[in-house]
Amino acid sequence: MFKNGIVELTTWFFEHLSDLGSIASILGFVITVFVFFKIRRLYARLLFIARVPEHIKQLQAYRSRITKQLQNFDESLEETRIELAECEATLKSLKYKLRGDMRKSVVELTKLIANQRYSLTRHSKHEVHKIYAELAMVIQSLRELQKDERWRD
Amino acid sequence: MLSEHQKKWIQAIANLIRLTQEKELKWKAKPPPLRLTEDNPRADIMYVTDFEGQKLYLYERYFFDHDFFHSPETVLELSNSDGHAAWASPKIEGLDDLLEAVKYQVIDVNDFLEKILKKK
Repeated sequence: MFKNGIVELTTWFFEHLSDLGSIASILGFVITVFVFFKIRRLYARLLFIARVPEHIKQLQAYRSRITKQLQNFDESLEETRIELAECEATLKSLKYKLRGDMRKSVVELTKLIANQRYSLTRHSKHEVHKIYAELAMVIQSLRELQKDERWRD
Repeated sequence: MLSEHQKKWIQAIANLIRLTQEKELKWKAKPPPLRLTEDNPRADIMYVTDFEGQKLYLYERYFFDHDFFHSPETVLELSNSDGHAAWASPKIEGLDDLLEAVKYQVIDVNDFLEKILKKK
């Protein structure tokens, strides 16, 4: 009776071998996709932890320099233009290390700077003040995100 | 992301910077009160202004310690007109810039530059 059972099981196994192979392939594919996304997420997180603090420092330095240039806006027009261009480049680089709403805010600020930078005149003080406020908001958001990141699993 | 409260504070600080730079808001330097000179945290100087009947105090406070250096932090306090009740604003981006703008105004850097450049 026991011998018969083993024979039946072996026969069933060989009959369904191709089906089992297909199931294993599908399962393997699902695991590969899962691991791919998991690694991508881990990479993004590592990139965030490693690079974003440096970006925050850079953005804080631009923010401070922009305020100083606003003291003598007419005479600092060229410097402000350069500062905004550098700030834009940093934001563009930062964009790829972020996701969701944070990324959206960075993209919007980059657009705002790009639009103003080319048409900067002596009368653009109000617009630069607006950029200053938006930049301060992005920096504060990044700092909050940095704090949250410490508590993520 | 930021709460509405934080956004409002950042915008408020940005507006204070603008009003200070445009000299619509006049700041004065004065010695800090006893609570900031006798104990920790301390402050060496305090800047005061009046915004529509509300007193604003801005200062850099630090922890005095012989063994360690503690980096200072900028504080903005609001109080009622008689100056008795004070409330400190949250730690927000831009407070350091506001302090710089206030120092620039109080010391009158532009005036100094004009005077020194006129000297032959």
